[in-house]
Amino acid sequence: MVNWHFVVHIMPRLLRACGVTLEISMAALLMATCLGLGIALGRLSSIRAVSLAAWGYVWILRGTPLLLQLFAVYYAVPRTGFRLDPWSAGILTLGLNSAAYFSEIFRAAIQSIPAGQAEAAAAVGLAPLQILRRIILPQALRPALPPFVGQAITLIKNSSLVSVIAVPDLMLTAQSIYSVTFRVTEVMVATGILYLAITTVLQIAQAWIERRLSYYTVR
Amino acid sequence: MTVVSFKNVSKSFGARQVLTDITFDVPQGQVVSLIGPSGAGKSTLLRCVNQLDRHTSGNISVAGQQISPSCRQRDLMRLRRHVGMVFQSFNLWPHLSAIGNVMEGPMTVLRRPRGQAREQAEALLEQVGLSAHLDKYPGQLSGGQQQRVAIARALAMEPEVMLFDEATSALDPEMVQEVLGVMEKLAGSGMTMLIVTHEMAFARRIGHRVLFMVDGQIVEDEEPASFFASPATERGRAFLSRALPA
Ligand SMILES: Nc1ncnc2c1ncn2[C@@H]1O[C@H](COP(=O)(O)OP(=O)(O)OP(=O)(O)O)[C@@H](O)[C@H]1O
Ligand SMILES: [Mg+2]
Repeated sequence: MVNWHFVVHIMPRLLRACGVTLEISMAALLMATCLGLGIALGRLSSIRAVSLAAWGYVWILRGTPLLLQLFAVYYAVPRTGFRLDPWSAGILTLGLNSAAYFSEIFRAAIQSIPAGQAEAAAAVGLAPLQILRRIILPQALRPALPPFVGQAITLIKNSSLVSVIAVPDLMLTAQSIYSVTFRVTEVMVATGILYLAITTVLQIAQAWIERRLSYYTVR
Repeated sequence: MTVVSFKNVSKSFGARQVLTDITFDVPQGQVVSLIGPSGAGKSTLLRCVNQLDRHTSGNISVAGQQISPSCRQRDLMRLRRHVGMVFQSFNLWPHLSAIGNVMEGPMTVLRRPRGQAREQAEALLEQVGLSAHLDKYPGQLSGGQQQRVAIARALAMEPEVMLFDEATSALDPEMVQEVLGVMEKLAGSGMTMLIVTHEMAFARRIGHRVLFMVDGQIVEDEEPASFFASPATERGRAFLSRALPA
């Protein structure tokens, strides 16, 4: 049986660690979103070198394990003389890795908008960037949202990997608690609840944004 | 004054030649009907006027601006401000209301203040009979209403020439008239128009001129009355006998 008193007892410590997980995840999410959009546009570029570079980025970052990328950034990069603390390495790796997945989500969403939309905008005289910002991206938001939130949830769960480079996140704190108290069940239950709470907030946000974005849908 | 001028214009998609040596001038106020069998190149010709399709050789001039096959993006944008286009499938922007669709060009391209753009858009939507639907989204409008919004959207840029690519082909029969009515009013107001259409009776009634195209070439360039009464070419006769069943 789970000793709920113990769960409550360790909650404050886990909640502080939860803040670390949130901070790292949100920083990586922000970075991955911006970078992912850039890579998506790169993939769609008519300049061959640009689209090839974007393709190569996705190929490598999606095709190798996140843990390997984390070690590469944390242990290999410093050899070039560029020092990274565990936090920065964690954020950077999560951001670079997720950007590859986000870029594919954005690319698919952008390509799902019928060509006639951009054509009509070009015919009115809008510049390519104006077409993107005023016509394409606002419409791409809706198809992008569900897979985007899915990937954001994956990012948050993957952030537990930064515990291996000694970032005191939720996962590492959980480990350090049960390695002293041996109450694995209680610690895992409490930790699971916290991860679930974070991802649940995201899912609620998704439902809310989806409703807001459907203002122009005919029911 | 000549508004649209094509001189020896050709267009290929890769190895496939779609327009061959097209030459014609459209004076201001003329309403030109482009007709011909499917695949003749009518849409491509129209899309060369505003360069949604770039031509591969020859010279095009629109509203006094020369357009060469190699001209740059900003020249194209300048050109397109002077050319309105209406598509078969409307292509309204679904995330903007009817009036938002009409205001987009003037606000984003011409940098008009919102209030001024709105006033103009209201007037245009009234002209096309949509005063009651300003704030509806395209998804809430019928096909005929959407196409009239699309016409207002094009007119908002105060173009010197309007292009219509089968503007009524996607409409239910009962909505065709409301769109043709708007086009006829526009022609009556002196707008220069290039119309690709399968509505032969309409072309005959409001057009000043017929360009009959086959296989990427203009094979007849006639007044509607004479073209529809007796086409000069065998292809023209064959086309009309199919298009206008006796
Ligand atoms: N983007 C493209 N790439 C390759 N070929 C094209 C492209 N657009 C059109 N074509 C070809 O060019 C030819 C002319 O097409 P176009 O659409 O101009 O004909 P149309 O006269 O408008 O026909 P319709 O009455 O069916 O609309 C067709 O054979 C078509 O297959
Ligand atoms: Mg066509």
